Amino acid sequence: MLVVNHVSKSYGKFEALKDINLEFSNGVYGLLAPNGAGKTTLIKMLTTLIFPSSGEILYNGTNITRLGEKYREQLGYLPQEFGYYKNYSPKQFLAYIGALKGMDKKVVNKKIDELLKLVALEDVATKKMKKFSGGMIQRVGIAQAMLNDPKILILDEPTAGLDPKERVRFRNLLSELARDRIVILSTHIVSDVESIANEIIMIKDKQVLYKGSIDEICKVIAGMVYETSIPYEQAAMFKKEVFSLSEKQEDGLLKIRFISKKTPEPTWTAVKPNLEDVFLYVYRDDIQESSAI
Amino acid sequence: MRIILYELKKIFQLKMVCLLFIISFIFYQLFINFYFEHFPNGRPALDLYRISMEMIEQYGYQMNQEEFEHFKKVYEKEKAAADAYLQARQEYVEAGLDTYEKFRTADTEKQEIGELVDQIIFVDQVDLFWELQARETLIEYYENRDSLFSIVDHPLTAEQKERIKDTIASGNIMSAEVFENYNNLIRYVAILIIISIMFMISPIFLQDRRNHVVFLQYSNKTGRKIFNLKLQTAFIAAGFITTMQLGLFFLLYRGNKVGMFLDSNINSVFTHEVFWFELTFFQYILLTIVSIYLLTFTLTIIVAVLSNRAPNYISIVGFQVPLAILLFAVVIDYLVVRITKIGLPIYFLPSAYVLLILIGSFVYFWSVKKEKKVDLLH
Repeated sequence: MLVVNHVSKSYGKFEALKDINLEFSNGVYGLLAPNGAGKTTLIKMLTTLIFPSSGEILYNGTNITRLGEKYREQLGYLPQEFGYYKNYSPKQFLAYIGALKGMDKKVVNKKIDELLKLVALEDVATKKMKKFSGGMIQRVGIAQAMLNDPKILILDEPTAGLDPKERVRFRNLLSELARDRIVILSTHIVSDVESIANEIIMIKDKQVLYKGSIDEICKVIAGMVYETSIPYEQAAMFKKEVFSLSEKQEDGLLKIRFISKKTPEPTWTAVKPNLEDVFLYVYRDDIQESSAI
Repeated sequence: MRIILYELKKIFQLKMVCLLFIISFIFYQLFINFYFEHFPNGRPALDLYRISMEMIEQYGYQMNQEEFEHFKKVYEKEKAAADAYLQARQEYVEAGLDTYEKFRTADTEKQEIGELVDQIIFVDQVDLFWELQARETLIEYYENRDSLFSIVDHPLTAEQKERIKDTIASGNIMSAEVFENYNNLIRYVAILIIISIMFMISPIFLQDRRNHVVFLQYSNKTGRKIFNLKLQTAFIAAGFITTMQLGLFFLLYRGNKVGMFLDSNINSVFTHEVFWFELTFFQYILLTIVSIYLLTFTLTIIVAVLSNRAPNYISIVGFQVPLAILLFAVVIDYLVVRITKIGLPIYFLPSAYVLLILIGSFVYFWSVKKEKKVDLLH
């Protein structure tokens, strides 16, 4: 079990994360927050790239810093900015990563073939990566993270650059892998985690805001989500009174999904909230700020 | 070891090796080749070199007073031969240049006399006349050997006086041309090695930080040990580059045919050089090689640490330019060329190298320790 115990991280006077408490056991965890919320800081601490200013991270009861390489050999990590050597082929690069992971050369070679097949890169296994698309590079990144069959798999924005088909395949792969390991998936794309995450962790204002199953988290706005259709000319006024989640044109009217704490009107239809609704509602200030920018 | 091999492959990638070859080739063409192609550089340097060899053949590596008298007799004989050469030529007799003495002191401002002198010296390049000049120089050096007491600017210490006295008394034979030529060459070779190391080692950490591979390196089992492994790789690479450059240089240096002087003592009235230690030319060469290795290993640590801390290649170049200027203009002259000369205190060289090793070790251990705790943000 991986435990984050009262962890804070500051850089001088700037506080990036404040008193984070989390527990991870086998399963998929979706770390959901807008860009800049501190997801990567938390992930970097979990991967020993940075150290907590206070608090501790324990793996099976021992501080991960003290465990050192014994902890890191259980780790598979795909960074947000996945680094690779352009002039290396996937095979060469994975062999290098295998050496960094302290794996036996023969075992690495066998595993490389398996993984390249799994991520559908076996045809380009010996081609230089400089000509690869973003999706292909990301698949190499996924392969390197899984090379040592890690007990803890941490993926920071793993689906960036993947096409819809690849995303689906990747999600299925993660569900399969998560049966006997911890998979932490950091993303700001709700659909990435909605279908596969056992638990969602939402970070806001440098702290963990919610941690729970999708159903539990959706309860936050239960009974507040509605849909209705209104003429376009009323839209501006209507949106001042409610929090709009999504809008689309339907039969010459504007079909709007929204959150309102007021007593519902007869034309409103109550709908079951989903994770995206919660995300948009929870981070409405951040989202408005980033849209303003 | 596997990781070190991977890191070595990254340092010695084909593109970098090719560029290093081009840099080395251009550097050789611009600065080094001259000292191979023009050694000894003109006359009477060639004659001084030849006569120095002849002296060693005849007298061994030292020349005593009796042997010096013999050397002078040979000079007198050659002078007589020069007299005969002049007297056999009507135009020289008519111009009053019937003896070597007169030929030597002739007023070359007069066009007719000047032309006659030039004919023998520069047009016909008569060996005898060049050799006589060279012998005169060597005799002059030997007879005025007390002038060694003025090789140091400041008042001499008792120890310096002692070393000069020993050198004067030794009668050591060493060619100034050979010694000067080697010092010029090794200076440029040291500069080329420094450039090569700066060029090849600079990307070692920066490359991985720029393309974010460092996140994978530090989060894997090897973790922050990779920093130390990379430093070790840098040492191996620097050792290899230095060995290759020195190997190539000494291979070419064989063509200068200085083998006979390897056992000559470099403290000699003929080179006008006095050192604190009784070193043969071969021992001096070895000492310069050891110095270059020590210098390059210290430089390697500094370049590698800069590579780890500099934000981009421009910053690295910015840091390295003043460092290179300091090395080329000052450090090489004090720590590689003419090392242990008596102009500097006897403990200067060992102290300087101890200091250099201490600086290198400090930077090494400090950076390894710091890297263990550093937050990897970018």
